[in-house]
Amino acid sequence: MISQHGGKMSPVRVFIFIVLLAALISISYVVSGQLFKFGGMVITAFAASDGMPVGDGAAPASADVMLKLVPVFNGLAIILTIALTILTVRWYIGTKAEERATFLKKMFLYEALVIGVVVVLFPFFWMLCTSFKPSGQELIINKSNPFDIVPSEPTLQNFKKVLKIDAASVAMASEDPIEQKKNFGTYFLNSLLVATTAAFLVTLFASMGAYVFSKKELPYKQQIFMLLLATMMIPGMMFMVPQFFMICQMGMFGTKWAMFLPHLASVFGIFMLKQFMDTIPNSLLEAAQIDGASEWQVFRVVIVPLAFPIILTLFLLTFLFHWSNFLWQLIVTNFENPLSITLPVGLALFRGQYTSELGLIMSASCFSIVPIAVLFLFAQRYFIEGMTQGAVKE
Amino acid sequence: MDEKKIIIVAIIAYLALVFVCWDDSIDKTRDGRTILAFWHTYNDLEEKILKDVIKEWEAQNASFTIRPVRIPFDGHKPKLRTALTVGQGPDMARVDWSFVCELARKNAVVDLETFNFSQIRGQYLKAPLETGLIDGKYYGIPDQTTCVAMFYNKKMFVDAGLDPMVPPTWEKFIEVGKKLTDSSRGQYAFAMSNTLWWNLPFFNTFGAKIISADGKKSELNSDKAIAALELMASLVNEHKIEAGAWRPGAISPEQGFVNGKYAMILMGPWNLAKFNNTKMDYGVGLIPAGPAGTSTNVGGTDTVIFKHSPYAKECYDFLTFFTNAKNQARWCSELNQLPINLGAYDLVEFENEHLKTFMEQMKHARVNPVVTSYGLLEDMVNPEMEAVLSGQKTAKEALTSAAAKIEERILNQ
Repeated sequence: MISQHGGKMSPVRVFIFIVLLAALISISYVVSGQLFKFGGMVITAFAASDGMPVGDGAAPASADVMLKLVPVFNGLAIILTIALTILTVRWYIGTKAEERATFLKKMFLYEALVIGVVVVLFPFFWMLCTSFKPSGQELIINKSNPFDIVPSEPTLQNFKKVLKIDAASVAMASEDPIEQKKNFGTYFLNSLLVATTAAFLVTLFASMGAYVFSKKELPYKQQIFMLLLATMMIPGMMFMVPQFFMICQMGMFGTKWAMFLPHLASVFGIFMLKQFMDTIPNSLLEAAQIDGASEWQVFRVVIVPLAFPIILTLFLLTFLFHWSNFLWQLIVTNFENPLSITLPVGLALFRGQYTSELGLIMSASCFSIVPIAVLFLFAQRYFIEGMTQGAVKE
Repeated sequence: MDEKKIIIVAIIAYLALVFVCWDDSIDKTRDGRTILAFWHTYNDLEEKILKDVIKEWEAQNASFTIRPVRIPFDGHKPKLRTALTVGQGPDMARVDWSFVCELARKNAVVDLETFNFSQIRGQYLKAPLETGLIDGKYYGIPDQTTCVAMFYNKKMFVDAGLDPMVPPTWEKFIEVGKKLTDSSRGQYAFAMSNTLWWNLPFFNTFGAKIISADGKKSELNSDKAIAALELMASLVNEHKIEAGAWRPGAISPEQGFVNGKYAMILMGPWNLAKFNNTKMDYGVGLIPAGPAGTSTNVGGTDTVIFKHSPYAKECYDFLTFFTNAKNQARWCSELNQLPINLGAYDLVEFENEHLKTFMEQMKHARVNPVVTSYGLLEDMVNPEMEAVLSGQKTAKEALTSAAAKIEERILNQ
């Protein structure tokens, strides 16, 4: 058959289109089905826990509702998939024959990207789903559909336990004022404070140090820098006990200062920033000096704005390090005082000798990834820029 | 909102956070009583009962107060090591059974005979008690114990036309296992882990010892131990009734069991409540008997008193009160746990049938290998066991090599 534009209707092309369409249909059905079910599940979990006595009794009610809603989720997924299929087919037919190869390439690209997104986001989706599962159901795989990981008996118990607003915790907390503070909110704020302060101070000190090593003349500069770098070769574990001893001698055991004070001098940070600052032309500094800028002004007006992406990268890396630094924070935590417990240490309290409460850990993790996600969303442009710039030096 | 505004808002939020949350001082009750710090790793429910027991003890000891401090189990060893190094340790602590030996040999904990422990020691179950026996002296009072038993999926037994019960001997186990296994459907009779602790039941049913009684030699290369490991390997290679759950990345025994893939697994009582929530029909039976009868391993924790505490006597008094028959009976009935006090065995009435099986299984438990560094022992044995299971070595070669390594790197250090 010859089309009006003169191009041939290639059977190979049609075959590829059908294969891609089949892939599109299955991806769309599975993904949208799960997403619809997840949305319904969250609403059901909230609705079922309202007005219900807080306890295990909430589970069967939500299970009933979920069972009734199954046709709705499936229906919605089917409607969406059919709509998408019709749209794609019309689109394909509407495309000029000579552009159809490009269309197929694009379609393939988008499908591959969607699969990539699914693979990357799957662990987070699993985390969200598991946090709604009642204890004991975390590891069960749906027999009829192994891809179905959305719980069919959703419960808010895990979130309530983590935030200590379930009945048992409330009763316990009313007896003891210290007990009241032992909750996820306290740990979260402690960690936020520790990580932010540490990240800010580290970037401040490291950028000043890097400026000196990069742009200033001082005797034995190279040797001192090499000496500093040499300390990176020694594993941090070796310093732990002496550092802990010093912290105790300084009377800082169990305080927020203890959580990050020994890590404020970051050789890695100085190294990373220096490598970047070496690329800033000296003429810029000289120009500023000729205009009458003081040493501090040169640093603040020329160096910091130019090195901002890399400084922000260091900020993020330091924040991440302190946000998840378990061992050191565990050692300096004073467990008698919940105000000194940070998030990584608080999360570890959910694990016992043989058991891990997966549901509790996952619901706590849902909260704990929020600051990191927010920081990355806000700063990812700089972050990626900074990572690549710091990595290579011409 | 442009970026500058976002930064300003972030800075204001941060400063507000500093003002509200930086202060970490906390009001403590000061009523003149001496404080005894007890570092424990209990969970919420356990901690609640612990506090009740403390109240009762304080009623009899008016000049002391016990402060229970919860630390995460995952980090309790490094936490205690570092705290003791700088003299910040507690008066007493609850530690993993395998940690007592290290603490005792490093001279950190009190020999309980100072307080005539021998007079009351008979009230504790032997296997958990002996985890605190180091170089002939007792250093730890057991406070919680567990062991593993054989869990089985009743439905899978019925589907295979079998009576739902754990076979009484390993020979029967293999026989039944062949009927339960259908590898084409990914269904297996048994699944095991590859760590020494989880596989101690095999060695124990053969009467094999890992470390000799005097603690100077490894008896892992004895005929009994070799026979035990040969049995394990035959389940995998010869009879093919084991699922290979010990391989890295395989479906874990627990996950395979709750999903109806594995008919039998070794598991402890800590998962009973969880498994009940799965609504599967399962049972618990005694581990099949070997030449030395049925047997199992010992898990759980011991409590220790630290040498630097000036109030060791009071700590001892509290810990023995905490683990007496009455308190153990209450602890175990409310939490569905196995008692460590023999007196409590008569007082506890479990509604849960499975727990009764565990109590019976616990009576047949044999003492675990007690060494300074139990983690290292696992590191020595596990790769050798894996080599046998995957058919790279014979049991004799592997265990001879493991025994030599244990003697060189752990016992003769």
